[in-house]
Amino acid sequence: MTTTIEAPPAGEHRPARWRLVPAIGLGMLVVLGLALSAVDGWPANWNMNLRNPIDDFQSWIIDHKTDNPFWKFFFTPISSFIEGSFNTLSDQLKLLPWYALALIAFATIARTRKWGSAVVVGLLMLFPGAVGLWNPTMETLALLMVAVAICIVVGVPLGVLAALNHRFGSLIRPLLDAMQTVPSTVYLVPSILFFSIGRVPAAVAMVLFALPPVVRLTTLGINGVPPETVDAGHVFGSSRRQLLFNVQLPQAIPSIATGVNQTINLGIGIVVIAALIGAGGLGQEALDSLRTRSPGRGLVIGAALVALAIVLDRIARSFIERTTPDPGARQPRWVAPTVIIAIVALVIVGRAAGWLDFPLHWGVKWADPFDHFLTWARDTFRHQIAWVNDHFVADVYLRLADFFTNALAWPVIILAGAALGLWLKGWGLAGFCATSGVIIGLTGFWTPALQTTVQVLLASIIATLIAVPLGIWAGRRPRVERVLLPVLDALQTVPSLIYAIIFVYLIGVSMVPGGIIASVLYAIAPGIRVTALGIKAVPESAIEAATVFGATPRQVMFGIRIPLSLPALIVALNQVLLITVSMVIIAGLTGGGALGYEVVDAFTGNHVGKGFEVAIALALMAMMLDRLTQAFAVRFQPPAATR
Amino acid sequence: MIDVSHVWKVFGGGHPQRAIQMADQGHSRADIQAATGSTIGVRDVSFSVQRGETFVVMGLSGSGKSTLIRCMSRLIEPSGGSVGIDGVNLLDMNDEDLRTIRRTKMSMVFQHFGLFPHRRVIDNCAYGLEVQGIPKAERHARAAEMLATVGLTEWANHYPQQLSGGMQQRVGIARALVLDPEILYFDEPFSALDPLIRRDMQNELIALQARRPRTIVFITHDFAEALRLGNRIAIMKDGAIDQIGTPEEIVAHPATDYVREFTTDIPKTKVLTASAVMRPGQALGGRQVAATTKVAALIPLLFADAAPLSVIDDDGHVIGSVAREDISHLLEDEAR
Ligand SMILES: Nc1ncnc2c1ncn2[C@@H]1O[C@H](COP(=O)(O)OP(=O)(O)O)[C@@H](O)[C@H]1O
Ligand SMILES: [Mg+2]
Repeated sequence: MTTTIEAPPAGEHRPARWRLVPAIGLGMLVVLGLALSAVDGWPANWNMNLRNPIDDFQSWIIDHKTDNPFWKFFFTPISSFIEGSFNTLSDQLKLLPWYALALIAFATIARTRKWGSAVVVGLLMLFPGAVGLWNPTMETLALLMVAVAICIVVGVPLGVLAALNHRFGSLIRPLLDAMQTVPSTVYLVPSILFFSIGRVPAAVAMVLFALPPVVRLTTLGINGVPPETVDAGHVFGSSRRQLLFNVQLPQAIPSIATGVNQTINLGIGIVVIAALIGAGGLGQEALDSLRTRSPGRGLVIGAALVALAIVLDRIARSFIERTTPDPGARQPRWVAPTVIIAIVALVIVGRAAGWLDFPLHWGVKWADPFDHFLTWARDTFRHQIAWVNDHFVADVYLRLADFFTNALAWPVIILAGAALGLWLKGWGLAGFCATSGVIIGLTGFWTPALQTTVQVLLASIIATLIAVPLGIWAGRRPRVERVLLPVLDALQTVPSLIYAIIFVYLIGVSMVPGGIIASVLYAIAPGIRVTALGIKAVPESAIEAATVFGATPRQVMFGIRIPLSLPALIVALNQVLLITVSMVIIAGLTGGGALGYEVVDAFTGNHVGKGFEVAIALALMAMMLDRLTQAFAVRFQPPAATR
Repeated sequence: MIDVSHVWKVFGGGHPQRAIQMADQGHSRADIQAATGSTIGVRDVSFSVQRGETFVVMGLSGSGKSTLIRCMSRLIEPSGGSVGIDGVNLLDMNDEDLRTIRRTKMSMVFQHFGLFPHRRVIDNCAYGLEVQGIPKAERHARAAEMLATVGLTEWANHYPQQLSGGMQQRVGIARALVLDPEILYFDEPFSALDPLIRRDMQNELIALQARRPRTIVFITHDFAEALRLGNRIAIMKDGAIDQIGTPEEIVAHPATDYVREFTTDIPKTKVLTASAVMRPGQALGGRQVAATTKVAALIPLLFADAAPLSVIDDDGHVIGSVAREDISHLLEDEAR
């Protein structure tokens, strides 16, 4: 290593020669790009043809379902169990009088004495019935309940095991990380391979996608139990079992409930796309309203799903924030049994009297005004909309996509990815990027993957350009944040497909409604949130110091706040990227082409082999983007914060 | 009652024996850490505690006190040595025997109370009985009795976090006492409390010991507390014991500079007795005082009358004498 003559300035934690590396690397890539300009896309015959063995396997499964022991004794029982529980549950839910669930939701929240919230939740639970969506809502609820129950039954023991056995814990942590990086679409593919089409694969996909938070937060909860209470448990002679059930699990319950809440939210998040493989319920209704171009109905369906999400979230929260028990204010013993008996009695009466359906049908009326409004908007601004859409597609997206797929040779792209990985972190990441790039090529979806990358990057850039200033603003002004937060919550609970449905109606089929607008709307919320958090986390002392030395507010912002919150801003970018990748399938449903189209085609045509290929490409893309941005965040952490 | 013999505890590094070898060769804690990656938590500690004695382990934070008491209750496995309880080595016991002894013979009070936040005070108190499968009515009755002893009857149905720190630690003590253990371990039980409350609690502990003496191992970093409570005190530094002795022995004859540091700031006249400052031998006449009289009580006598005092033992024999000049250095120390 060469010795530097002058001491490096404070904050410089890499030798100066490193600064030349990116420049040299870039230069080499440009030279290579020019040299290889004649090379086209990925060679057509370089294909691992994964679809053949998978499709063969699928036929084999269909033939051997009844005689292979693995199916006979494992998959088929699981499948019948899920099917059976779903059917029973959804039948029973549909047989409840229209007010029953609202009463239960109300009583559950009222337990914590939050009367206002209890009333709101009760009314929200009535909403799906009031708009004539009761049966699909109950189907979705039943599917969610089955999936969440499985997540709890599987996830809590796994989480406990991970907390008690460190080897197991460190084994599954990277797995959970990967599971949370991969877009939900990917989980649909193995589910249909093993469980065909219907509620069962939908529930399985939901479980796979929503499982990590329960496991993670159970582990966190158990590990977070104050060690002294564990010591006390030991000292008073508890057995391992007693320790777990008397001391550790009870104290971990708020954390586990938080995990269950996140699991429910993730489950709701894939209700719509799970309908692609037969989940039915509200998701199917949403897909239908996309097909029939009924944005008003889509909006009502979205609202029903949001209502369901809020109800479930508030119920889960009521278990998390079990307010400090105060014996003075404790309910008398008779309250809980009385309330339960009263509700049961009302249910029996209602069922006997046949009060099953909500007495009013406002559904159509709710949707129509919105449809009229959208039709008016579409007709009035037809030219403007078309102008923006056409220019964006032709002059921005297609040009960029063309540059990547035709002007740049594939080895240059792979090398550039590897070089980026090397610069940001090291050889490990470089190797990962290069390997992923090659595997994506070998799936046979090189060009769609690049097109999707361009869409994802465009949507992410737009989302970041919106989210970062808003996030900085919210981080600086608590009042702005208070106004913004509920809006952000709402943005994220509405199923993304609903945005796509609305904008497809306005704009027509193109990559813009799903690939750009819905993605941006969906991704800005976490972007804003993370940015605001980062800005708020800047230590007051640094700001006071700068102010004392006479810095203007502008200098404080650009000299202190933004540099110090840079890692948070990069995390925001990371979130935005991952969300836009998860939106690829929505883009595919609304004319975005590329990988999204291919995956939708795989589901609708039941091409499982092709689905696997696309899913692999998608998963690798997500993991690459995730690791690169994470490395970026670490690389640009201020030196003081690296330890 | 309790025999701690050559107990070692080495954290991390993977080769505890190597660390122990290095320590035996006289290497310091820092050297061993650098060479093996291991931290020496407890270094070759031996002592025994008599039945009914209050044995205090005192040392600065990080000196290994908690590690020692956790070895003695086998909350962690020592790397070497033995801990005898009535002649049986605790470290040889299987899980079943260990649980039995914990349910019947020994109990512990923690620095941050270690109460279960999800259980009411009464259920916290009854925990040791509950794990033994004692029926609810009986365990609640016994727990209520114990809560009455510590004056918390009306708080039985509250949750621990609703109580003040001092009250919480009373619950911790009641929870330990409910098993009527012969051995009680205290790990800095009063360190998290306000000074005034700390003093009350110390007095209550002294009263409790007077009513029914138990074998107590009491950890503290507060030398004054050690002097107040301990029949004997062990001073710990870097995992090893520097000195063991009665409060008076330690104050009168600190074995190392480290121990002397602690003794400089305490009012010695209130700790030392006539026997510690007297000149042994024949008396020169003058008033007689018992050997156990605190020096503070001698001062007025010495200044009332210029003559030296005669010191007599329990049997009334004269064993030495104390003159003004024998205590003058103590007074100077205190005046500083
Ligand atoms: N689980 C552990 N792993 C590694 N080192 C530990 C562990 N517990 C304690 N130590 C180390 O052992 C030493 C003694 O700690 P401790 O017994 O808690 O001291 P005290 O109770 O006297 O403050 C400290 O240096 C501490 O860092
Ligand atoms: Mg300690």
